[in-house]
Amino acid sequence: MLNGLTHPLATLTKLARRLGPAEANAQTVSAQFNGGLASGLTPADAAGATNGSFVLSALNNAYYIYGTGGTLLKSRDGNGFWCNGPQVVNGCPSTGLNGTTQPLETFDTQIVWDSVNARWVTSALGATASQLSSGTWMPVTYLGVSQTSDPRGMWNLYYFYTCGDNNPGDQPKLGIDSPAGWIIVESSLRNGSIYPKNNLQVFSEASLYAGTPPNNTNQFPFSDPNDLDRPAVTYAANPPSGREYLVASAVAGGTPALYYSFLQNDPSTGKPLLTSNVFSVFIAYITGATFDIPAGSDTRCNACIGTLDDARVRSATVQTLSNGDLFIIVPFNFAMAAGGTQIYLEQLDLATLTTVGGMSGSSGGTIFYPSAAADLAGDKVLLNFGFTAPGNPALDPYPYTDFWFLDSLGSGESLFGKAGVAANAVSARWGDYTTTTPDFASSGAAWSLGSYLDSNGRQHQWWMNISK
Amino acid sequence: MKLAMRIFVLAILLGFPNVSLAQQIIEPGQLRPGQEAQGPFEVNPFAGPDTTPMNTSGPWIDVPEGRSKNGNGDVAAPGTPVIKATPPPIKVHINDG
Repeated sequence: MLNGLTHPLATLTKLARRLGPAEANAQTVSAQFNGGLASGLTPADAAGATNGSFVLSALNNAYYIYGTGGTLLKSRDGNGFWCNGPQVVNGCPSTGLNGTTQPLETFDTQIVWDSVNARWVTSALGATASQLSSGTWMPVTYLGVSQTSDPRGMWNLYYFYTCGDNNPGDQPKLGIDSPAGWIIVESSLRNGSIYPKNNLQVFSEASLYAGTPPNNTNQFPFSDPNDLDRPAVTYAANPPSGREYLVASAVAGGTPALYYSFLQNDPSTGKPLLTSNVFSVFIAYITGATFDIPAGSDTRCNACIGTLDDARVRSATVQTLSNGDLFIIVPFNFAMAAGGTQIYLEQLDLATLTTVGGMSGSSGGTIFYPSAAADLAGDKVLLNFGFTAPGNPALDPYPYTDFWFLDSLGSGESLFGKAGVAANAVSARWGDYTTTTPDFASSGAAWSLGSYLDSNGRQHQWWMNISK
Repeated sequence: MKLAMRIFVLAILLGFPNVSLAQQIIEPGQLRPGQEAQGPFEVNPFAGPDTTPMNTSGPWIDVPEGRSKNGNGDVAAPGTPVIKATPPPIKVHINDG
């Protein structure tokens, strides 16, 4: 119960209890602090990253840099970050970094830590004032890399068009593969209210880091007859040599189907191997200097979960564990009979390509952007489901971020949460964006970022470092 | 003098300390989709005073640990095989600029 109401994110607890005895209160919150006020579009689309020394919040139109104890070190408006320096909104030049038009706001910000090269990588979209009022934005993606491991120092900032037409991207996903030397940006391309195209763009990591203008011809737009709705593409962070992963998940709007797939380079043959647990609609892989896209779609359904009326698959994440296993979380947002969201988690043994753990659960609420990460040891998983129930204030009176910490994926659970203290009058989408990342300074720990509202209805984020 | 150049020179004259001479100036409408990514714009975007709303302290209310939850779910049984497939690849040479 939460404030007298039944918590709609229900099934995972029972599942976890069925799998094994809960290890209540065995975890430790090593640090927790406010992760920044939103200053742009609502909700803040909370994203973040840490390298063990700094914790960065990357929100709509805002960046915050913290020490691991929560001390705020620096902050910057998003448009200030991307317009050549510390200028605030009206101080930005009308032209410059943005090439065409200075954005009033930036949003859909992503940030990742490249632990191999000790760099920060961030991306964002932007819109002018008139575009914001008309509900559209520029067909440009900003991409920046820090010059050192200190995010307060110099950065190399870039921008590029998201596709071969003028449709803007939406929620571009960042992926890095430092062993192979690529940075991938994937966007679903918005055309009115639909997303008929998607675009993968692959950049040379070395060029971006060295400050050399990268070639932008390595872009791979693709369309889908089922009208892809914001597929999530995630490139595994720091995978072992010879194993690279790209997960694509997509949706057939209005069609009872959902997709996700992943790929590995077969360690025995070196050949790419496509594996699909449910559907595969699109897969790509990188081998050496070649970027490969299989033709067509694999539309077999192995184990569709639930009865899907109108699936929305977003925000897939993938992480290679130290033992070589692959950990995937795929949230399915679809209209279940009672409404809600289904989340599917899976841990795969890459040697045998079999599942070594997995779980699914459903919610009466809607979760668009849950997140998960394993600790560096690869034996614990921190989940952050966020929580919101759009259009249903009875279920979602106090948006909050909801953490679960699992041993060996499902063999135990306990949770922490951070409740909002104001009614969700700000946005029906408030609270559903989360980010979780390993703690690079401590094995057995992970960081996670979520959102909540304060007593004045202000849009806050909350960082927690949880170890066990 | 073109507008962008005027702005660039003005920026230098005004002493914007974090604008690198290596910075590129792009004319409005100059870029077209498919062209090279533009940059680098070598800057320190965090230099100068903070420009976002600052954090405030509480009051924050922690969700009680062990909050009651109910429901049911399914689990992928250990050992469940994953479909394997070998797709026909389309080789696309990558130009790494």
